[in-house]
Amino acid sequence: MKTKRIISIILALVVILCLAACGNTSNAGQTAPAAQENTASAEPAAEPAEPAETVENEAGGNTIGAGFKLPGDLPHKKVAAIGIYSGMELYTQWKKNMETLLEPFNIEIQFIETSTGTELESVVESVCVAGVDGIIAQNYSETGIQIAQEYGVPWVTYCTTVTPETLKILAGYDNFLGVVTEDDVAGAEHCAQSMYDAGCRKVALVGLSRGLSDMMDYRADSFIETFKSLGGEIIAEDYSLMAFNDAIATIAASHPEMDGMFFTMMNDGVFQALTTEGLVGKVKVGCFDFSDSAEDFFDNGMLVFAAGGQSATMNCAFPVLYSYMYDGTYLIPDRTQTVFRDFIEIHNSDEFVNYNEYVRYSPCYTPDELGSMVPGLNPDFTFEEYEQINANFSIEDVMNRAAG
Amino acid sequence: MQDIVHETGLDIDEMLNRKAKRRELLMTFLPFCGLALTVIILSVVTKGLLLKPENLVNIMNQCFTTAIVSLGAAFVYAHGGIDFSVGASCGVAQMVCIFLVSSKGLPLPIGMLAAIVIGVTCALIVGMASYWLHLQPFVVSLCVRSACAGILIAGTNALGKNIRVPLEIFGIFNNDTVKIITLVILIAITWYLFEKTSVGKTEKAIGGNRTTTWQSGLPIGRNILYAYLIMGICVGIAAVFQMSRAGMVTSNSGIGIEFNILIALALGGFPMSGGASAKIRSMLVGALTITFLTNGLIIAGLAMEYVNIVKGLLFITVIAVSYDRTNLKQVVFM
Repeated sequence: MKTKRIISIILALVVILCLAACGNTSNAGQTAPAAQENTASAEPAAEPAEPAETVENEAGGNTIGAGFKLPGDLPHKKVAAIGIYSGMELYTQWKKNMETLLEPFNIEIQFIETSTGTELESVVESVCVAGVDGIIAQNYSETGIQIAQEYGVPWVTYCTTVTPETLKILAGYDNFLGVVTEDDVAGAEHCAQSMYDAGCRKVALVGLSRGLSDMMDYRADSFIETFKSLGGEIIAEDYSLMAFNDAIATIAASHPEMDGMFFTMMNDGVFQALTTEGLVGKVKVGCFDFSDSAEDFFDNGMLVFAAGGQSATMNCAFPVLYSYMYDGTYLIPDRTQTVFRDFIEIHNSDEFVNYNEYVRYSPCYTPDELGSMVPGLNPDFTFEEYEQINANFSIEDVMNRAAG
Repeated sequence: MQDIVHETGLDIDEMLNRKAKRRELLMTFLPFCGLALTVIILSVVTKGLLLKPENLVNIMNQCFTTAIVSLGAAFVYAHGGIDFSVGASCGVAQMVCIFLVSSKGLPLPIGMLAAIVIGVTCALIVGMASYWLHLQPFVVSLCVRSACAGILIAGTNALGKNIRVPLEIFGIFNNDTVKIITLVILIAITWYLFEKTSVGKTEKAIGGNRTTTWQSGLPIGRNILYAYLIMGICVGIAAVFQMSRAGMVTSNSGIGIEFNILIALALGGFPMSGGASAKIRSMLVGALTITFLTNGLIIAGLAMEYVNIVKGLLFITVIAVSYDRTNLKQVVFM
């Protein structure tokens, strides 16, 4: 028994050592930069590239940073990406998109998930001690930003809606660079309008449990308000966490008059449940997010609106962080204002095919395009252009830029 | 029998006593050895960053909540109880505290007192239901956890979702000196109660053998409630410190503490079924080990999913080797 115990301990320690050593490989030769090195006074190590312009291409869309090329001698930076990077398609796509920037920007990214019981603040402390140059986080906390500031580490938040009151407080920290996120309110308004235009008058809403996600709550609130203002009626609301299938069955049984359903998030299981309950041909559906079955349901006329494209938000927020890491420039001058991005809105199967081809598995922005958004590398670039790029995000925008 | 005594010069009792003493000695030092090995290995891997003074302060901060709740949880686990509701009740305690202090403008001590009352109430519900209604504490605590999670979501929604904790009021709880003093005082009190008073001794006796304890005339019900009462107080105190550290109270506040307690319990060698070998120090060593492990692996640059794999493997290994299969009872090990 004693021998087995000793062997077990040794094996466990070997596992720790091996995994830890693997994790450290990428840091070989790196030393933790002093906190001062990360501050706004940091000198740019590479010469700015040739200025580029945002021009209109033949198709009428904007070309970002035409002719801009990232310099090949950018200083090495280490970035901590805090959020969720495994599991759902959106999360894994964030990681894939960011990985396209590693070599062009000469950066190293440590993806860290704040799992259950692990405080965001603890993770921030640990990565700061490890010597990161910047943090890009899906979430935020005032204390976390405060800790990062003590180490001189800048922080940008993406895909999270922060109230104006909280933003004012966060902007009081020099290292807080701002928030880049999707406009959930506008997306839900457009969805309500599309469903109303498609003939929906009595709609049921199914969503994630209230309070778990501000973004989902904004979608629900905005949809209800807009749909009612158009003259429609919300006949049922169900916020049963992820048990959408049960919600669909219950509502279908209790509200036969229903002619539409709105979902704050979508997955294939929802489409299966809609089919099982015999709702195809009876109700129209509007939703956020996509799944593989969406094309079929656009084809049969059930799905009239779907919003997506959040996978490109993280890499589009990266220039905000890189700009500060590079030469201490705030890309977002007024950090109390959120930079909102439009959702990509899809109304039919043709658009969905394009979405799959150009957006769903694509970073949507090339490293050169993102580099051109860094004023230190492209002195002519302005915040107004950055704001416009985010506001212009659409399937046409991505296709036009892809067409060159 | 007499032959053995003649050959070895020892009687059976003495042999068994020696074996037991050796095992006890081993059991006492193994958790410390585990902690020391973890620190040494991770120090090498992180090139010394782990033991930088600033990081040691970070580690103190990172294990503070787990350590405080663990001190109280030791009483519950010592008598063979369990409570999965501590995380959610800690969240509710935070919400009530911030509501009273920020929204109602009540003094900070009132808010702290309210947090402790919430922690105690939730813990006592688990304790009373499990003893008087003869329900499994595991089941009751899951019910309380579910109810508290619901209250937390509804409450934070009503109060504005992400409720900011005014650091100008709660900043004192982020002070390292205040934290160290609080921790030392709590360790001293809980150690005294656990090791030197009838409360702690009875808890361990119940965990060791409930029937014998009852036959001895010790008040089982009252002592079980004492255990949950002490844990509730610790949860309330931890709530105030945790909300001050996080800077805001959300629907996720406190969630997950219960799992950290379980891991600390296992890594520190605290017997899962309680009993005489339960020690306060086991919880603290376990809390420190898991904090060093998490902190060190992140500094080493290991992806979070691998950090969780390492934790899981370690957890399974410790459970596997510390389970005494001869009498199907957990014994103190690493």
